[in-house]
Amino acid sequence: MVFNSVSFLIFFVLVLGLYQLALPWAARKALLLVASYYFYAAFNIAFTPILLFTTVVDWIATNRMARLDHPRARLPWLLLSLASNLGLLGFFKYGNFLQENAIRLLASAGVGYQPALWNIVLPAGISFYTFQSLSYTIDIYRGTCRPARSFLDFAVFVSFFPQLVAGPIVRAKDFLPQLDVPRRATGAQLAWGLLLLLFGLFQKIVLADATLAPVVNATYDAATRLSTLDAWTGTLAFAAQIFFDFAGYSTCAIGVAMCFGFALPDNFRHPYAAAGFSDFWQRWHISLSSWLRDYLYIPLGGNRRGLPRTYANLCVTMLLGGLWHGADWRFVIWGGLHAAYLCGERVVVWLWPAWLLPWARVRLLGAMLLTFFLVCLTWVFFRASSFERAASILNSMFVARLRPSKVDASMLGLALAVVAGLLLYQWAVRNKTAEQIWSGIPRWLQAGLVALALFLILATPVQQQVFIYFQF
Amino acid sequence: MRFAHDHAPDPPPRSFWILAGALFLLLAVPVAFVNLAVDPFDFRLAPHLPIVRDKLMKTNDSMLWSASEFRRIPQAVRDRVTISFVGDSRTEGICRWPSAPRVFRFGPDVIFNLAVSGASFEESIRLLELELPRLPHLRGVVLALPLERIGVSGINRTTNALRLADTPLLYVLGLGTLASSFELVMQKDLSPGERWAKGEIPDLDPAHLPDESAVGLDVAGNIAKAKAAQSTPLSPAEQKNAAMWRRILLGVRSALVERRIRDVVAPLVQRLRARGIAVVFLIPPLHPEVRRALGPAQLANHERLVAELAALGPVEDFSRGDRGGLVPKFTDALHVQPDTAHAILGGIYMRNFGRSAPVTVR
Repeated sequence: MVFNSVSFLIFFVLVLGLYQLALPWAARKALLLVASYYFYAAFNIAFTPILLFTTVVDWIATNRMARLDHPRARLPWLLLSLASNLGLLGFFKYGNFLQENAIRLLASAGVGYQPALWNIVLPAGISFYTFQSLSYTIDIYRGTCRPARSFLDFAVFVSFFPQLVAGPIVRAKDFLPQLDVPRRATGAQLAWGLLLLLFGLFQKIVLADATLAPVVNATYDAATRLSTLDAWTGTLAFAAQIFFDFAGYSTCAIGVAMCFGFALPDNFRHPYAAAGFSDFWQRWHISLSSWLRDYLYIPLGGNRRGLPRTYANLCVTMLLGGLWHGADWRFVIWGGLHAAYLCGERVVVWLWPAWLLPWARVRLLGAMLLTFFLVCLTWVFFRASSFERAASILNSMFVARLRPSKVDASMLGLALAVVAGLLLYQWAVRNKTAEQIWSGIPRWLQAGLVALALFLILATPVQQQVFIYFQF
Repeated sequence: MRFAHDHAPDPPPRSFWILAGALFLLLAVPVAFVNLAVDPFDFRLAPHLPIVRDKLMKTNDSMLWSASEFRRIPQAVRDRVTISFVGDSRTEGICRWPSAPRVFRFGPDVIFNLAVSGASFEESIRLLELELPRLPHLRGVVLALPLERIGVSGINRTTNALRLADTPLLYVLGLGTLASSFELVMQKDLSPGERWAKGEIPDLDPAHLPDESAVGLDVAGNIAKAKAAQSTPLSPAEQKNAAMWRRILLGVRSALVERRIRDVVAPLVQRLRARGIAVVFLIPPLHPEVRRALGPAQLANHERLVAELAALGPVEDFSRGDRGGLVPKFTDALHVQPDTAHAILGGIYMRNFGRSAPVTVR
């Protein structure tokens, strides 16, 4: 069940209606839990035992840890949780990948070992809820988070349906306190939640799926080499598509949660207005980047152990961050490029002479453009179906190749206009929140935007597509 | 970490929602009016203008074209379907040449041609899965797997169009429908004499389905005719296309093809078998010029993939150039001539589904 479906809208209205009934808080939390498991089972009912297993194991481990004072005594329970979570994630997400690579490795060594392939199906959202649950067990181990008051609270925290399958990844210390007191959305929250849901769907359906996806598919899935124009258009369109797709999902998730009175953290903050890569990762998929920072980069030593170690920590963090996205070497390359960018940025900032480009605005614009350009290069590996295809597209981007476009001229123009509009918009409001931007618009224009968004959502001829990040 | 609710704006007054609703209606009502009045794809949701729609439907490469056709097949006809063909235009042509409708009688069986021009692998599979619940007496599926196209990412025009057809609101408000409406009313040959139902899709009567005479079942005769015929040489443009096929044919994508056979085809076959439905794989003919250009590695690859399919069910592989005494003759790089199409259809039926020899064999 995806947000951009009629079945979800029916589900949402039903659950919200029941949630508004004058029931005890525990009963309404139980309703959220049942609804969340139903939501998850709608993807594939066979995956629900895995979600339940993760929840039960982490509940037991954290309960035991909470009773023990000494970190050393808590360690076995932490290891149990880590082994269970990472074991499941490793098996389901990386099983096929490891097997294929082992076979290739053996073949390159002359061993013709051809076992039956495992054909493991990846459970939806496992990367997201595993990281969410893991953050809780690690926080309990560290003593930086109080244990959940009941199994029901913890189970709702792990499975809360708005963010279950594609984030934002929520921390227990932010979410569990919200379960302590009965919650209902205020009028302001309900209205804002519905508006966020509407604008999230607009981003997904109208911009990502109807406007940009056809251009991306026509270029990246073409069987032949692309012209330079198509290679650039496809890549720029994908940069915008993946933003609207993922940010659209996050916006919907935040909006839906808000309709139930819950607050979820922001996941995107105008990422293409980032001036540099540290800035980019504080604006793009914030809940994942902050997770990697808090549970991987800083425990590895962060930037506290000298320059070489800092660079090594950055590389490890970004390479694993790349691998988190998918079991494919292309994602490792994607993470590796971001690691290289982050390291390079530190060197550039360190060496940058004060006299060069002293005008702050010009420097900012240059940094934003350069960051966007370099980010686009990484998207080639993210989207291309193989290394060969990625190499071919990069070649077409940088070696002039004048051929008629594979894309309909009007679609191509529309896609480029959307990309340009996205960049100009994000640059213009780079330090403002969505709430500040919305509050600054006259009421009549707000009403017009709502009407237009709703109309275009209903009227756009679109092929329904799942969210890109569901595959992760 | 910043939370989105920290600064939730003040709730808008009631007048805001009224204004938004009014503006929405201002946008939606004219679109709905035009779409309902023109009804470009003949969905007949309301009384509509008596204009001829076939030109648009035949010339426009719209996703709604096939949907409109499928949608007009009544459930009573679907109830009689026993065998279905699934694939792209090559399969569609095999069942349809020269003018057979989507559903026709074939001896004791009723064949449903679910193949759609330009269908990707995904689209074919999704269309079959969408139709399965509506075909209670299905006993056989001929699933065309043009191996070179399995790896190509799918578009899903027909299945999405069918969903659109089942969701009248989307059809009525759709900007795509509106574009087609304008295209239709801008056509210059809407003469009054051509009005009414002339070009519209005829309703199929379950009691009087067209029978095999519509498609010609003289298999042996057709094989003889097909043997006598000559393939049309490829035009320069088609030669270029053929070169493109050669490049992608079973080459770089073979790993993906294997994965899709494993992940999608095998489970589908299992599900169909569980329902008592036999599955036959059809590998459409390859133009001799394309086949000649394949290297030994590609041919070996092809054989390996066909062997994988054969482990799942019978394979009617026409890509080798000769099957059941039939050498396919082509009209262009991809499509076969009418006699070849007839012979392929009859041959597949006889070898896999013939219960009482419905065809004349000399």
